[in-house]
Amino acid sequence: MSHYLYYALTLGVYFFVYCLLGLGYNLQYGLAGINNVANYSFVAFGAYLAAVTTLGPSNSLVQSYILGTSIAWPLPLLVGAAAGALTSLVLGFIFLLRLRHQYQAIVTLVVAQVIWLLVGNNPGLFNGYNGLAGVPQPLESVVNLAPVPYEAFFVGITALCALLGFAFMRRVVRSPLGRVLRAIREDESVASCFGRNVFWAQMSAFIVAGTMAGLAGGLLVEYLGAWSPSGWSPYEGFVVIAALIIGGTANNIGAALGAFIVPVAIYELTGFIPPFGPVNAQTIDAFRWIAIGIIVLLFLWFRPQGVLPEPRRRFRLVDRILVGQEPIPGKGLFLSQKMHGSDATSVVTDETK
Amino acid sequence: MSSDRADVSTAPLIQAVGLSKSFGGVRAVQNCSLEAYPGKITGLIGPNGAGKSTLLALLAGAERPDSGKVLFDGHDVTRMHDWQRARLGLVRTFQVSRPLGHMTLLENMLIGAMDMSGETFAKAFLNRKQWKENEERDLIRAVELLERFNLLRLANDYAEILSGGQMRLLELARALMASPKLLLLDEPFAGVNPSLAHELADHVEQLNREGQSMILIEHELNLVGRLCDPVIVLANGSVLASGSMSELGKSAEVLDAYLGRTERVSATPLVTTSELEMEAPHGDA
Ligand SMILES: Nc1ncnc2c1ncn2[C@@H]1O[C@H](COP(=O)(O)OP(=O)(O)OP(=O)(O)O)[C@@H](O)[C@H]1O
Ligand SMILES: [Mg+2]
Repeated sequence: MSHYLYYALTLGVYFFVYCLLGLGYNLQYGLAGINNVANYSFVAFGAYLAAVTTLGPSNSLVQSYILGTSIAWPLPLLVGAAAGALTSLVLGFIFLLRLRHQYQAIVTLVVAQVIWLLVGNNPGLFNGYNGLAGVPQPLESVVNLAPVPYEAFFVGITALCALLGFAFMRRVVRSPLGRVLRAIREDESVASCFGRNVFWAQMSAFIVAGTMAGLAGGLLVEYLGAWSPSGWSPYEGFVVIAALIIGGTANNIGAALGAFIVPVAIYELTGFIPPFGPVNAQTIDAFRWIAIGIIVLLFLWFRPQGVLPEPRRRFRLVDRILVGQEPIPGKGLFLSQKMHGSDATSVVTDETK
Repeated sequence: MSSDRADVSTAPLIQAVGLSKSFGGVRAVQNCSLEAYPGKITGLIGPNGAGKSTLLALLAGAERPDSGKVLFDGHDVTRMHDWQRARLGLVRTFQVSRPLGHMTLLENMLIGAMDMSGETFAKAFLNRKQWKENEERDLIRAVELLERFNLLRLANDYAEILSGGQMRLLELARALMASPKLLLLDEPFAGVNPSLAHELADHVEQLNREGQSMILIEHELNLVGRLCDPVIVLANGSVLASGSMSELGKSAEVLDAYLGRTERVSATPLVTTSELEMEAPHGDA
């Protein structure tokens, strides 16, 4: 029984981490219109930095890495988030200055691949393709819990991060900042000819999204205890993108729904397909990617806005004017009076004079 | 109608000096110099492809000139980006409407309002009270304008559902939200039905009486005659002539530039002085 519970809690961790990732991706892609396929590189940097600041100084006999220290939890998570922010700032200059649309996507993909190769082929950096292992779980000795309760505790940590991310994004979407980012997504020349600095607006969104990705990476490495290039190939980023497309681009709840549908439901549940005949574990893994690819394709064809479309922001003032509960500002007359002949109109305007 | 030309001594609001711009082999604008004065509607006319829109883009900063200078309101803005010029009060509309499609009309208008009190992460969270107040204020102005442009009914709908003409109206209304020092209008009435176009022209005239300076590109010469003084004629990327519409009506050069090149304009006879006089009392009423 506790096996199932443990497994459910594991899915909970993935769900909340992918919520955080999806919300960050929604910020940069759904709102700001940045076509970034390198999103998982920021997760990776967050994970590596959180790992090396937990592991302590490098012992090159076991594994070699840079910047090894041991700081108290939750500081490594913050370092991971900062690593995501910093990488975003640097790469933002490459991705955001001149590149747009498919060219932007291609360049981010290439950069992601280069980063992956650089990290893998430089064992001095983060132990190359072998990666880092033995990262202790946060507060393990402090809370001193059995595996299942500890798992629940970790779900709590990730849920807290995801909820904070959700509350944050909710405010962003409803603020003038959210409006400007969407304006940039729709037509950046318009945003720009109305005084908005498109580059820095996109850059700030990109950095904040990178921070969220870095934090998610920190959470992942603390949960898994290990991190190596095989776990963060550029394709992993596709899971996040697929989740947002299916859940609903530019919709925060859609991002959460996508985090449930793709990384949890499709990705994990296909793991339950039992091996039969020619189907072994590897083919099941391939099925998983094929399934995600096909579903994304179907959505792009038949429901590009995703399960939950972008919410439309209605201003209640105008709704009240339209149903005649409030006069038109500056005119002192109600819409219905304006529509029903000139008599009513002239009477009312005379009265207001 | 701003017909009194007594204040020639005032400094120009915008001044272009020797602007040139080529696209590959096409010399769209060649050595253009012009000035627009505060409180005036300066007309910009010329055949299709004369370089009017390109000139407007050079003034607004959407395009960089190959040579020449742009001075606006005491600043040399030649090297400034369009968004920097917009913040100085130089705002344009586009000849082909550019609605922010998946945003509502009101949101389009609020982008036009250029209130930036809640548009960074820090301000969005820390400056909440301020931006909410500003948003409320801008919203009321937006509703007034949308009402004037017959768009209020659609205020909470996405701009992508508008008809072509309605998109033009939104384009103009959005630019007016900015209350800029100088408004650059690229054929704002094209595709708008005549009676509404007339109404909008009244509105533009009213704004001008309230002190709004504009540069207006327009093919409909009756409207140009009614609204604009002075008028600058562009042909083949260069300034051909400038002056009041009645002065230009007498110029053979201008007549050639028009009648020689486009059928559309030749179908509409060039405005005559008597037509202008007929329009005048209407505008002053
Ligand atoms: N981005 C561009 N690339 C190449 N050529 C261009 C570009 N923009 C304008 N042109 C060329 O520059 C010339 C002037 O174009 P412009 O749009 O300024 O004309 P216009 O006077 O506004 O004409 P219209 O009355 O038809 O709007 C045209 O020959 C056009 O083909
Ligand atoms: Mg043009």
